[in-house]
Parts: sequence; structure tokens; C-alpha cells
Amino acid sequence: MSNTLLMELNEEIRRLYIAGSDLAAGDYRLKRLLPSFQQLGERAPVFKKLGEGIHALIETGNCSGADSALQLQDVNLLLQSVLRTQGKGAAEGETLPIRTEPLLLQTRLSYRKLSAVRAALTTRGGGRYEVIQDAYREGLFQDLRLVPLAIGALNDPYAEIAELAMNEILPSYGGTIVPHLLNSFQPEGGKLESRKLTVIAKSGGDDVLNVIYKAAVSGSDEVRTTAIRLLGGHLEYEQALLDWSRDKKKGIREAAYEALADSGWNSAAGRLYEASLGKDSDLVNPSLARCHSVLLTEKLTEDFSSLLKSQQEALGDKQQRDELWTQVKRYLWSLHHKESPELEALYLDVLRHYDLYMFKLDWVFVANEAMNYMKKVDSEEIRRLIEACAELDLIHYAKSSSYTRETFIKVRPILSAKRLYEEYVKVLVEGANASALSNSSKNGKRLLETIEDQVVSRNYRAYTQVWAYGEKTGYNYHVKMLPQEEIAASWDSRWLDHFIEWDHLALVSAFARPDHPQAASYLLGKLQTSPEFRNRFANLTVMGLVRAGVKEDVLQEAIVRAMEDERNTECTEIEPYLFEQLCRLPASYAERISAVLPKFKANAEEQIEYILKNMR
Amino acid sequence: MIEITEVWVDSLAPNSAAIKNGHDLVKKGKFVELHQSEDQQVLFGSCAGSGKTPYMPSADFVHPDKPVMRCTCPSRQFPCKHVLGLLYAYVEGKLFTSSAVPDELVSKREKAEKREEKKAKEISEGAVAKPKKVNKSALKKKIMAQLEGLEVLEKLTHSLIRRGLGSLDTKELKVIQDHVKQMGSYYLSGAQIQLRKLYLILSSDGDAENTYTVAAEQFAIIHAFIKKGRTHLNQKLEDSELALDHESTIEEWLGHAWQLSELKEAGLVISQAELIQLSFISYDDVSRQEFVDVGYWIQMDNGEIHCTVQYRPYKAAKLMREEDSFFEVAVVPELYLYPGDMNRRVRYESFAARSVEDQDLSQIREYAAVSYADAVKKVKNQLKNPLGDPTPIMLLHVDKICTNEDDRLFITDSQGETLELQDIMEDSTVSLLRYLSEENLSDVVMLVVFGHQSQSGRLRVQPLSIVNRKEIIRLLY
Repeated sequence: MSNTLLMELNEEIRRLYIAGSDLAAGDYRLKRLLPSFQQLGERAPVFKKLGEGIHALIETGNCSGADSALQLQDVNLLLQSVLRTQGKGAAEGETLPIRTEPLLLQTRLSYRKLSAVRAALTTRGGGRYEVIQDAYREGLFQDLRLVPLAIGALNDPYAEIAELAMNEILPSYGGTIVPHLLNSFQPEGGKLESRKLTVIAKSGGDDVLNVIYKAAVSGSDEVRTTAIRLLGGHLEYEQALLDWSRDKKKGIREAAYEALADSGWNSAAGRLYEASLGKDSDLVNPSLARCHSVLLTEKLTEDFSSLLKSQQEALGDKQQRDELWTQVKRYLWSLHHKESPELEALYLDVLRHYDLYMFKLDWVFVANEAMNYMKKVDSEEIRRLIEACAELDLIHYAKSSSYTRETFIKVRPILSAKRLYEEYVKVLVEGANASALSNSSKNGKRLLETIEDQVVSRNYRAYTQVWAYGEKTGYNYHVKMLPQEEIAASWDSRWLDHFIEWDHLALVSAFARPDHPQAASYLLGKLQTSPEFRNRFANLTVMGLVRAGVKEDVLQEAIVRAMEDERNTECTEIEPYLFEQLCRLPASYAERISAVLPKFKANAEEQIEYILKNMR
Repeated sequence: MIEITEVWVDSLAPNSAAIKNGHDLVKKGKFVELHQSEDQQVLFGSCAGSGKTPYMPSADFVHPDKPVMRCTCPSRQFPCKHVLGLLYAYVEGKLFTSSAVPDELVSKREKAEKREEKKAKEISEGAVAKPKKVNKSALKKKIMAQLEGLEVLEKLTHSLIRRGLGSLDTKELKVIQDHVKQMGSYYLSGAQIQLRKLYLILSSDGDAENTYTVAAEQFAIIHAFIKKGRTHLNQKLEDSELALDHESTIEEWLGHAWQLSELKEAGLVISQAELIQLSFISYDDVSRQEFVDVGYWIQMDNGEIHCTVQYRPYKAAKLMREEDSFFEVAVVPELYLYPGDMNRRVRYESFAARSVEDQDLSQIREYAAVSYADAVKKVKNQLKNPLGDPTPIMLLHVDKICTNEDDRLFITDSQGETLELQDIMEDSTVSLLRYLSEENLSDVVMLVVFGHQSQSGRLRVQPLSIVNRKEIIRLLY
């Protein structure tokens, strides 16, 4: 009783704090409470004191208003103290034994080890993923205290973190985590619940199939679609999946198609095929591509084949042809990555009518898919057929701008090195003799660019800077060329003369070979005319000189001369290949290298110091 | 032979980033040289840094209980990552070749040795630390200023209360903020903290109803503070010595930072105490504008639960050592106790460590309170003091943990009394209990923090650690 009274008083006091203590004078609610306090006060001095306080508060109107705040504070202070002695902590009603699902993990990590991960898992902002991933790799998640946070991470707004938790962290606890996820699993929830279900399925094995099935039946749409996908491959749910594939909701059907695709049963193949013919043809297509049922591939190939046969009638009618094309694309996609004798026959037929598909119908995708499929077939006859198709391409595109680019790239792996050279060399010959502004010249340049892209790659990548203290890692510009043997095997040797004629340094370097002295003298000349290490040329030239088989002493003398050249200044970093060559310099060059050292800056200076240090 | 462990090196590091950086230096092979002096007392080496010349970290174990770390790097963190890396390299068993100590280091060591000698000489000559001279007139002035500050504070709170919290606007909040600053010039840093807390409560965007309840409670605390502070300061003025009150926490509330010498003078020192840390937490106290590292320790000879508190002001936080969980027994030659009730703050200057044995655990279990009725009584006795710590810590024996129909959790003592478990601190621990195995849920000892929730009128406890027969399971840190 007295406790309710105290709580009531607390409510009134709180009201006065909100409204302002000046309103306390004559407050009728306090007046109403006063007699009870006075009555209890006869037995308990605390209530008597409270009663006096209330009385003083009501009467403050009689003296100055400033006192009201003090009176209110006095009553409040006393009341708060009393209330704190009234706290109840015991259970009301019956208690039951607790049920736990032990995880058998330790709690041995210190605060400083845990706090960074904990902060990453409980706050928002950038840079958290790395912290969590590192912690996972270091095994920190084997500490019990991180388990609830790992479960919570399934709901992280940053999807990568949620997926890390779903795919790696939580499954690492094995089956013991499942009961805890099941405890909090709410089928009517959203993304979090669907992720939980994924972990449950992954770690729970066959024991949890029933839960997944229930979620698939009665969960929210988000949970249902996940659950249906998770049921794929479980024969006992075959009928359910087939039923769901006829659901009213599109999302459910889509999930069911996917699950059926993963199952690969004949019934599944039949259903998917059936759906592909109906209004779901677009929706089911990714699942068709996903399903590796032989039966399905057979059926799809059959249909594809008759579809292609019907093109005859569509040839004249553009609208009909476009409609047909939409269907053809669908089949192309669903049969991509699949193999069967029927499909091979189909594509062989396409190649036999290459002219029709490639040029008349302009179904480039069909023709290219057929070519790529048939390339895998090991047969001389087919190889010849493909070559013939490539020849058709060459004729068809001879006058177009794609001739020196797309067509070149397409036919190069098909045609022999000799045939390719003979076909394309005219572009370079004509271009070299024409005016620089003419189309012929432009075509020549385009062809050189295309070839360069095939042979030389350039990128920035991590590189250990051996010269720096503690070998730090930096990002460096790297030039990489096809290995010399590969160029010798798959490119005609005559190209090199034309590259020299075109003064194309990168290609001359890439194609340079020991039996071609002109290339070596061309490159030596290049190093003389542009010796600057700050430019990309020097590195390329040295790469070429090595390929050209120039004698080591000649090469080294040429490089050192280039270093000594008065134009060779302002270099801040020596490119990796050139640096490696410099590292091979014998000690006899030490003096000359020391003399040029002051011209080099920053990293280049350190690099040369490193070279000097290692010479001695 | 220097005997150190990785855990020990970890404990030296100012923060977790330094641990990682120290390890990284070793991993990346930044140490160009690693040496050990011929007498095996000094570790030193050279470590590549961003500059041209490598840094020369060293660790001098001439006095094994007080090793001296040095480094030539310019970092203000102490010890720096280079020293930590050197020690990690040693712990990992990297080869330290025997070599003569470099001259620079030799001269530094000699100087340090001389300083030590001088100190020892001073002590042996009986130069007892001169009693600090107190400038009484200055102190009197300070007390007068503090009284004046309390007056200002009271005026402000009263004007706020008269007007009512319902109609508070940003202008008034600004006035509170101005007063927070003013309190500083009245030497009332304690008032500053409480007023800032009020400001934070009133300016929070949360549920308004809850805000008013918490604000009313905070007003009560400020009121109690003003009343007690005024009485205390007036009494102090009457005392000719103007002595500090070393029995209650009022000095700390007024902003006094106890010095060890003052505690010693007041006889608040225990010699040869053994402490075991039962729990640890670090949090950001916005009203103090500081990070606070708190360790909860049990004093092994009497079972009292103490706390160590380190404040790291925001401005200096980066350079200060962040405290950490401690898993061994700290053997403290001189333990200083702060005035207070339950869970008194303690401090010590040096300690030696030994590992926790099974008998330590059974000793701890002995100290746990068996009757919840008695424990609650003790707690409530503290709670009724508005200036007391509202979240006292106790060690309770738990007969079993049980639940009820609403899925709430309770601990039960041997007489069947129950206490509800609920999270009180920001970090949740109650949920962890469901992951524990059976043997950790019955007949165990639990370190709990009590907390009273005024809206529901419930007194709840949050589990911090569980002590079973084999180990201490830390649910917090």
C-alpha cells in the first residue's frame, strides 16, 4: 500500500518538475495525498517527514515564490532516497529451470582484443569489414562474448558484413549455433530472418528441414523465397516445390524454379520446361541456365533447333524476325555452358549456314556461340569449317572499321599465323606508304594498336621495393609482354620488319629476336635518342634489347651510357624491368654510376644507392 | 636471463593498435639488429623506421620489477611500437646476439643509476618527506569560491525548476551550458560533471517522459550535492587546519583529486595486498568528457570488492595507456584506498604478478554473499544515499539460475530467494548465460552489479563474471 502511495507521490512530483514548481502552491492533487502521508507518519518517521515536505510545498504560496523550488527539491530528494530502498528484485510467481544450449567456448580474450571487433559490430561507418574479417581469421570469434554480436551482424546494413557472418562466421560454430538461431527465428521477419534461416540450413543438416519447410509455407515472402530455395535437392519436398512453382506470387514461383533447377530431377526438368513455354518464360530462364538436367537440355535443344528452322519463313518479315530473335536469345542463354550431342549437331548446322546467320539474319550471337562451342570439338573437318567461316568474316568486314579490330581479334586464334599475316600485312604496307592523314594510315595505326593490346599489357600492381628499408610494398607501373616463345609460335616472323618500318617501339621490343640484327640496332639507336629513364621508352627498349639477345656487355654499356646522357634527369623511380637489369651491372661500373647518382631523385636515388651497395 | 611473456608485453602497450603495430614490425622484418647485453640484462636493437637512420629501442631489466624502456623515435606513446616489437621479438624466440651496450645507452643507464642512488641516499639519511606546506589563506579563498559556486548552481537549478522542464527551450539549455563552464572557475569540477549530465539529459532526443524522470532524479542528486557540499565547506572553514574529509566521498564530489601522499597521511594504505581482477570495463563518459577504464578486483585477504579507475580525458586519450583486462594475481606492496562505501576506489604504484591457482578460486568463492536478503539490505543502504554509487558491485553465491513464464532470468540463493537478472550496463551479458553449460549455472559464484530502476521500482542485477571451481568466466571483459 505504502509503495503505491510513494509511486503516486513520485508521479505528482514529476508533474511539478515538468510544469514548474510555482504551480505547487495549493495543488489539489498533493492536498489529496497529504492525509495518507500524515496518517502513515504516525507510525513511520519517513512518511511524517514526507508529509511535512508536501505540506510545506502546498503552503509555499504564502511566502516568497522562490521557495517553491527548494521545497520541491527537498521532497524529491527524500522521496528518491526512500524509493530506492523499496526496489523489488525477486521473481513474482513460479520459477522454472532454465534451458540452455551450451556452446563450449572460452571467454579468455582481454578487453583490448575484443573491443575493436565489438565496436565494429555495434557501430556504423566505414572500415568495419576489415576489422571483422581480420578478427574472424585470427579466431577471435571463438570467444563466447562475440557470438550474440555475430548473430546480430546478420542484420548489418552493410551487406558484405551480413554475408560474412552468414557464410563464414556463424557456420564456423557448427551445429551448436542452430538452437540459438532457432530460438530467435521469426518466420514472419525480413532479411535478417532469411539470413538466419540460411545459416540454420547450412549448419543444421537434415534435422532442421522441417523448420525450413514450415518457413517456406507460412513465413513472410522474404523468408519463404529463401526457405524454398534451401529445399532444393531434397526429394521429400519434390511435390511441394512443384506446387510452389505454380504459386500465384511471382517471387515464390521464381524461388521454386531455382530450387527445382538445383534438384535436377526429371520432374523438375519437366516443370521447368513447361514453365519456359508459358508466361513465365522470362522468369524461369535463369533457372533453365542453372539446371544441368540432361532431359531439359535435350528438350530445349530440340525446341531451339525447330525455332532456328522456322527462320526461313521470317526472313522477309522484319517484325516476325525480331520476335523470333527475342526467343532465340532466351535459348542461347539457357543453353550456354551446356553440352550435348544434339547441341553439337545444332551448332554444326549453324556453322554450315554461317553466311545466313551471321550476315543475312545478323544474329551475330548465334554464330559466335556456335563458333565458340565448336572450337572445343577436336575434329579436322570442323576446324576447316570454322576457318572457312572466319574467311567469310574477313571478306564481309574487309571494308568496315571493325576489320582491323574486332574481326582481327576474332579470327586470330582460328587462322594460321601465316594466313593472318598475309591477310593483314597489306593494311600496314598501304598505311606506311600513304599520307599520315589518310584512312589507310589510320587503319594501319589501328591494327598496330590492336596487335599491341594482344601482346603487351600494362598495369599498376603491388611491388616489393627491395631497396627501401624493410622492403616496403609500393604500387608500380608494370609492362608485361607475351613470352618470346609464344610470339615465335603463334605470330608470323615477318611482322617485325613492318613494326620497325612503322617505328613502333613497343611491338619491335616484343617481337625482337636474336636472329634479327636490325631490331637490335634499331633498339640501340632508340636508347641513344631517348635515354631518359623518366620516360616509359627506356624500360621498353631494354626489354626489347634483352629479347634481341644483345650481348650482356653491349647492353650494359648502352644502359650506362643512357644514364650518363645529360638529358637523363628528373627520374624519380626506375621501372622494375630496367631496375633488374641495372642490378646485374658488374662492380666495374661503380664509379660511373656513383658519378651520375646526383641526377636521380627520390626512389630512383635509393634504387641506385641499393645497386651500388650490392655491387661491392 | 630475462623472463617475460607475451601477455606481459601486451599489458605494457598503451592501446591495442600499439600491440598490432609492434607485432607487425617483427612480422615485416623491420628489425635490422637484435642484441642482448653480455650480462643479459638489456635487450636492444635497431629498427627501420620511415627515416633514413633506424631507431634504437631498448629495454633495461637491471631492476626486473621496474624495467626501463627507451627508444630514439619521436613518438609520444610510451612504450612506443619499436620497444614493444623488440620485446615481442624476444618473446617469440628470435635470435638476440650478445653484444656490448652502445655508448649512448651506457651513459643513460649511468645517469639513471645515479638518480636511484641519490634517492636511496635521501631516504637512508632520514629525510622524511617534508610535510607539504598548505597555503591556508589560498585554501580559504578557494573554499569561499566553492561556496559561492554552490550558490550560483542552486540559483540556476531553482530557476529551472520554478519555470518547469516542460517549457524549456534552447536558450535555457545554453544558459546551463554557460554555467557548466562557470563551475570550473569556482573550483567545482564535480558540479561541472553533474550539470553537464543534466544538460545531456535535457538535450537528448529520446522519449520525453523518460527524460523528465531521469532529469528529476538528477535534480535530486544536484540538490543533495549542494546541501552536503555547503555543510562540508562551512565545517571546513571552521576547522583551523582546513583538513580534508577522508571518510566520505564529498571531497571527490567537490572536485578534489586525491594524492597518494594524502591517502597515506590519512592512513588509507594497506601493505602487501593481493588482488584478483574479476571484471573490467571501459566506457566513454560524456558528462566527464573522459574515457573511463574500470577494473573490479577482489582483495584476497578480506573479500572486499574494490575498483581501479583510470580517467583518460578526451584531449589526452591518444597518449595515455588504455587499461586492459588482467588475468593474474596482482601482488601489491602498497594499496591505497579512497574514501567511500562499497567498492572503494584503489590505486597502487607497483605490483608483481603471479598466476591464479585453484585455491585462489575457492578462496574467492568463500567470500560470496550467501543470503540475497542480506546483500540487498546492504545495497539499499548505499542506494538511499543520493551521492553514493548507484550501481554497487557484489559477489553473490548462486544456487541456480532459473527462468519464469515471461522468459526472464533470475538467480536463486540457497534459501530460495531470487533476484532478477537484467542488463544494466550498455554491454549485454544476460543473453550470454544461455550459451553456458550446466556446471556454470548452478552452485557458482557471480559478480553482479546492482541497479535500481525507478519507473518500474525494480532492483535488478547484471552478471559480470562467473567463478566456478576451475576458472573465472568473464561475461563482460
